[in-house]
Amino acid sequence: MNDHSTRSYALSMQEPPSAEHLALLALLTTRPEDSTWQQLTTGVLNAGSAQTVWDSYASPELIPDPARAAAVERAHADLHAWRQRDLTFVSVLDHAYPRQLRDIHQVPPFLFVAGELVQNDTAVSVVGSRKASSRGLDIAASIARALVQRNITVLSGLAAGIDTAAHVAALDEGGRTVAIIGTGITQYYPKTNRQLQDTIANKGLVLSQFWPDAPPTRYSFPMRNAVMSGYGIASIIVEASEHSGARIQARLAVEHGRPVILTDGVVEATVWGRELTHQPDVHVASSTAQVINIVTEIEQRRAALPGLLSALAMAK
Amino acid sequence: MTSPSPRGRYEPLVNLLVTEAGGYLNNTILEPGITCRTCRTPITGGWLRCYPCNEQLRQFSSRLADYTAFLTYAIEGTQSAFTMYRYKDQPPSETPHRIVTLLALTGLLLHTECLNRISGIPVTAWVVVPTLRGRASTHPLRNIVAPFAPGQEIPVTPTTTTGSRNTDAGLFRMPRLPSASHVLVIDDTWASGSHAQSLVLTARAAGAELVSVLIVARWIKPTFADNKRLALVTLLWVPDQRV
Repeated sequence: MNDHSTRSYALSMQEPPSAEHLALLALLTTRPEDSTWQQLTTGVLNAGSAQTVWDSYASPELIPDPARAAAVERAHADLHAWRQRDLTFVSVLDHAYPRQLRDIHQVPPFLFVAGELVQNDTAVSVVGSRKASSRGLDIAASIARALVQRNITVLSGLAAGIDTAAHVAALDEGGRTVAIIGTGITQYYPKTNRQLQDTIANKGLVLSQFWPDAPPTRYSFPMRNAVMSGYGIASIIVEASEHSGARIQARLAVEHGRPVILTDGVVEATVWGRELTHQPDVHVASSTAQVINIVTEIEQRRAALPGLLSALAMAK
Repeated sequence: MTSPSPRGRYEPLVNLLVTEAGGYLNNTILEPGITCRTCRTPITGGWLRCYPCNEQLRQFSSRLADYTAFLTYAIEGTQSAFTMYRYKDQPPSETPHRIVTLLALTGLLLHTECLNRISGIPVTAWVVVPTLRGRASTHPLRNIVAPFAPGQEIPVTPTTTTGSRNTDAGLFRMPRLPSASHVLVIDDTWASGSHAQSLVLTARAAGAELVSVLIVARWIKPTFADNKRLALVTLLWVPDQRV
């Protein structure tokens, strides 16, 4: 069940930027000791504070490093500019941050948010080829509608083809849909989805893990797929070719321990699809009804552990 | 619960673990000349043990752990290591806590019966290695294993909070143990093994006859030359592998 009670909060213009936000941004722009964003984010989560990590890199000398001061200054200016532009910045340590993303090692250090953040958002990815067949588009729409009927959020990547069909069907059905995009939050890619992205921001949620004006790059889409895998409780690959991005999402989901549902078409059409079926928690479905059955089993399984544990504890 | 075999009894737990984490967790490997006999880290050069374990053995010989069991590898920079960090989060990070729970209990329930059989002395007491850094609070692993661990819990206090990396019986304080004690030392991760082996030495000094170690994850830094060998070893999930 989705809990719609916890809304994201927009900071007022008067409020000073949080010291945690400043420290996080300073860490990410200076990357002390050549650390990757992933290493820095892991460190910040382990410490429970970006400031603690930022301070740990300060040199013990008496004269402060001007580069460090400049980085904090720049962070100040960025946060201010983003507020002026009405862009919502959420850091990995904020309460509003989707907590299921903290389960995956590619957890983004921050997100830009357009729309409503909901804690415990039960979402399922519906993804696939940009150049989809009309049958593929129908399947995507059918699955999206069925998920909405079960009160499950339809998650996708706002790409052409399968992604678009899933988002549109979810909106048509009056359900919640979340788009995780491969560009900055102010960008539209493909341009033809401009209106759809704005609609999703109004009625659902658009998330971006990139700087606000970042253009699409060949690296941004796989990074975005990792976040999609992490946000949802499962990934459904509707239609895909041997080299489509959906393949990356399927592989990442297995690495995250998240279930994957492949349509029988994907298994027939691709070598990777066939090979993936040997991995744990990879399912094959030949109808929307089967997809929904598998999703239901996944939800039930997640709820079963406490009962299993108390039975074992009593048997001890 | 009348199932004859322990595996049968714990099957649902094992199945859940394989389903939910089999995509990124692997069984540890005990293979002479390929992994360390004590800690399962990949080794080269025809040795039986890795350098740190060999050095500990040279210094403490038979006072070290009698038996060691490792459930999985935590490979730095990957999902397995990240899970071992996140399960300790407050408030708890749901999935990582769930996976470590499944790992710890699968290990505890399956390995203890095996350990009792091969050692000849059933485990009489257990202890989770306390943290040696920062605040002393209840270890999250302690709360996970407490309802299932065999025998009595031994109260242990650290004598330092400096995060010492020495292997030293004096790092912990423990009351005198009854005769014929078999102590199970439990920890979430093993990097050099100094903390777990220190507590083994403490238990030995307190009169333990046998001391076994159960570790959830052997920490692996993939930049170490040795660990490149890990890629050469086919890692497959074998759910019924034993101690």
